[in-house]
Amino acid sequence: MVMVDSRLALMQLSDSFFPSGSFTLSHGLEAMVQTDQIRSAQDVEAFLQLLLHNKVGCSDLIALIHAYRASAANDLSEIRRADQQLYAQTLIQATREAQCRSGQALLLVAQSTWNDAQLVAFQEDIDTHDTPGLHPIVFAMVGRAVHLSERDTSFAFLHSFVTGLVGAAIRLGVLGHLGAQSILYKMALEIEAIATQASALSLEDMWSCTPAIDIAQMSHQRLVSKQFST
Amino acid sequence: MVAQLIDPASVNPASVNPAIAAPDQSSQKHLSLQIGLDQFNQSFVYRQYATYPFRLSRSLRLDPTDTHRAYLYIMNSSPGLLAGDQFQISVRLGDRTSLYLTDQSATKVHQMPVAQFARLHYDVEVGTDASLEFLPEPIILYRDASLEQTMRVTLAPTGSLFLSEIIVPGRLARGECFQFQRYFNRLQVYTPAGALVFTDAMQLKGQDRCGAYGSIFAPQPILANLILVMPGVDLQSLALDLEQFAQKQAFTAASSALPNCNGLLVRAMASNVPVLKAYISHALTQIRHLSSQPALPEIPK
Repeated sequence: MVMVDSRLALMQLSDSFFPSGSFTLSHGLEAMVQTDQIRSAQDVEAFLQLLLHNKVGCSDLIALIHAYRASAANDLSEIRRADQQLYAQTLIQATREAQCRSGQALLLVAQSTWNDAQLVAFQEDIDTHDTPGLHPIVFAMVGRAVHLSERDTSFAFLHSFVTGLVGAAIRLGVLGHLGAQSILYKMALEIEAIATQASALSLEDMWSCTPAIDIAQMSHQRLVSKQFST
Repeated sequence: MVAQLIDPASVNPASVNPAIAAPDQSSQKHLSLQIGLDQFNQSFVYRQYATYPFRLSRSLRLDPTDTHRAYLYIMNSSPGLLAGDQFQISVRLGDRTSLYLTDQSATKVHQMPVAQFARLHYDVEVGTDASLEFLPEPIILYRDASLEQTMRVTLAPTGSLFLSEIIVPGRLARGECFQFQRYFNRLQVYTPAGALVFTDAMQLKGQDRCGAYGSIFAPQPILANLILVMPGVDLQSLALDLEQFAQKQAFTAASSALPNCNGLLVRAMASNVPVLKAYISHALTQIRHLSSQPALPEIPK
């Protein structure tokens, strides 16, 4: 594979233009907006803080970092272990299915864009149902495949997550474009701390605690009209 | 209420799962309970061990028409959980046994110095075709309380599980709300072969609600979690029924299918405990109905 500057790869991977499918997710935001639990930019910020600190940073990101290290060591069994552990800990069916769909979409795009034997082998594992292929796990492998560092891969993942949700808030009409940039700036300050914290934790340390958001995510499928798949 | 004491003379030793026959001496349990099946198909306490602060009620038959299931109360003689407490509870259900397990009253988790906490660990085994219903009273987290609770469940493929918990974030009537230090709870469910089925790990920090997140989540501070694993039962209809119940009672709840099993996760938030207790009781009643089991009797408290 022809080497490109990793900064360009970082931008390509974390750009909303990159077709991973994760930008169709609202992570329960749409349900909370429709039920008037989230009405303002401050509410959106609290929602993001809660998701970042109490779910993504202490669960998805830990699995991603573990998968990245296993990927760098070319240890597919450890990648599968991280995948299966995260799957067993993702208790909301809609979220599990969305993670599988966006993971598969990302893997397809990555395989057609970058030539990497490990990605092909992981696709075979998914096809034979040996592993679910969740989005954070695939993201870690793609980050390694395009020569991003562990830290940059974590940043790209968290940045994609935050921009995806801020974009969803704009589309749902609870956030303007100026407010969105302000939130992105504040979240950038959080991302560094969250990545540092997650890098020191093991798969067994994963936890999450967002009961109100969990309920919103579980209720999303019963919304009469919806723009997002979760 | 008709309560019957089990006659040990009626025990058929062959019906006791050999895997649970030997009491666990290796780890220091404060309460150890093994349920076997007698020759009359009655679940009974095959072995028990209890030390401070726990005691165990006798086996009760709260439903005279259902002699198969044993009803047991865990009793606690301590004032609540205090800093440095580390308690271990073991519950093992042999094949084809059924147990409804509860406790007498809410568990108070008292104020603790910074960096100290109480720890409670459950080790649970549910054998083939066995059924465990564990419905403890609420946990009340006082100001500066810190509790770490873990539960490891080994569940046979045809075993059934109904677990509930209610978390009250303080003495709400006196205005104490989310002033505890930390509540951590990890549930891990494994197959007998050691494969992870699912895990739920949650960590609540008092300041999460008092600070930036309070504006969104303040109105319903009491949380409840329900975990149901019921092989062969249509849980979709139960999910719809539970949703309608929550809508009628005007509190927030939703459910989702669990991974790697025929199970349901239910999360609920309400402003008072009675409505959540009624919800949990309704869920168990419906589960028993769907699985053609005798109805849930009144549970005296």
